[in-house]
Amino acid sequence: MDENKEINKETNTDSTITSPQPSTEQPQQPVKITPDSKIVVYFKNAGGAQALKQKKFKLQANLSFQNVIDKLRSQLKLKSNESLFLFINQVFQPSPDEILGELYKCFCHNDQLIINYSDLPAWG
Amino acid sequence: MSFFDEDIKKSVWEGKIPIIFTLSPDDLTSHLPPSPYTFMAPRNSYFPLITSVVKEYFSSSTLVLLDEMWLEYRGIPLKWHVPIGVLYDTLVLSKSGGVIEQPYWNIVVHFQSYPDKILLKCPNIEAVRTYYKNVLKEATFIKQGDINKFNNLTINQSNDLWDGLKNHDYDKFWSVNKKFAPNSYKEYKNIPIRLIINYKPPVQELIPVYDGENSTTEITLENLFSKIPYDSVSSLFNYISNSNNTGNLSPPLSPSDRNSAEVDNNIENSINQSSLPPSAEYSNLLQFMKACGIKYRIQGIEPPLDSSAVWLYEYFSHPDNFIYITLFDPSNLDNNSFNYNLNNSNKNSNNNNNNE
Repeated sequence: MDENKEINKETNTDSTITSPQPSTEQPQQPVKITPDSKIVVYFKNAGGAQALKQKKFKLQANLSFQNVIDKLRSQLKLKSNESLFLFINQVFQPSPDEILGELYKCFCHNDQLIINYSDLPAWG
Repeated sequence: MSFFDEDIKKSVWEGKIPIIFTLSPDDLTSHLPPSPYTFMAPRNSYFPLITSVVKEYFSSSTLVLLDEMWLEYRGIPLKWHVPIGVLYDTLVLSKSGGVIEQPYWNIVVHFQSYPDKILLKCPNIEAVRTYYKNVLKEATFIKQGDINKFNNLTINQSNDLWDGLKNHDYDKFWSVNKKFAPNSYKEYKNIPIRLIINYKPPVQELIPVYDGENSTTEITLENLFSKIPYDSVSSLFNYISNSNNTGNLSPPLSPSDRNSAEVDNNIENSINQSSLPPSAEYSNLLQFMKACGIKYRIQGIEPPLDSSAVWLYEYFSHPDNFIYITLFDPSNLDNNSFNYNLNNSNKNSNNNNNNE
């Protein structure tokens, strides 16, 4: 992961997930999403998955869903053998290569994208 | 619905692509290379659903069955989770200006060095089913605002849908798939569309059926393109850089770096920036398409711009209930523009962009 950031430094910083920011500031997002946009993601736990202290994150729109999964797993300090399932709006699991901004355009509510997560495939 | 509509649905389902599968020379361990395997692949299927015969055919000629089988076209690993027809339109048709130049699609079969930074893992058919079910739910949610139609399926119906897709059985598949169709156009919340540009992950927009609240006029394909902001697609066409990238080639990655590089950036870095200036700004996709001569394909063809978008959706969508629109620039036909620079690219004789 770390070498990865080295490599990409000069061309882009896409892989760098923004550090958690207080959710109180500026939740309003433009309708148009560009790769540089930041969007608000709201993580809600279910099943046996633990809740996050901070539930809202501002993430870059051009992250892949795999980046989001990795981000959440590291926040939860999960070991590699612990399973975690992420759902949009309690409906479906996006493919890891789907882009966060595209999901946001189609599924946001009140300017945030709700991602439910569980240790079991709760809405499978 | 006209008399011919059912025929159209069936014709789209029957759309097939002739493929020649060849075993990668890297994987050959027998004295005689096996002859290629030819196959008519349904556009509306996924490779793992049709390639078990290919695997069986080649497995007697190779001892390196260490990894999952994967497929490659001109150095590009084929994403198994993209419908076969969409892969073809994106990787082959787009790069010949939209016309069929070669009668066959030549695909190389690999049994080792699975490019798991580029391709999702596909350990078994069940993984395809799980993937398919989730995309179908995503499309259903866009279309209706809920997935009640999906949840209301009985176990038998759900199995028939899957078996119909897996075995390419039109009657079985459509007997269930028709249940996902809203009763009228008015019931649609939005039309589930995916735009595919340069083999990137799909662009999705919410596209209504009617042009305006009180309108009863269905939007046309032209209207659809005009509703998509230019910003949504600008960064995906090679020659338009969205960052402060000045058009220089990204530094080549050594194999060890590539292994650790994260998927999207790996792809991003391997794209050759062409020299066209990104100066023009457009307010929507339609303007951009007209100004730059961008072409589109849906299920391999170019329906007229004045076609009803919702009608096209109902007849040309894929089994996952998305309609895929492939966009390409016919003036930029270089296939290396999305070359993935595979780890073993130096072994591929036809790969000339080895920068190392």
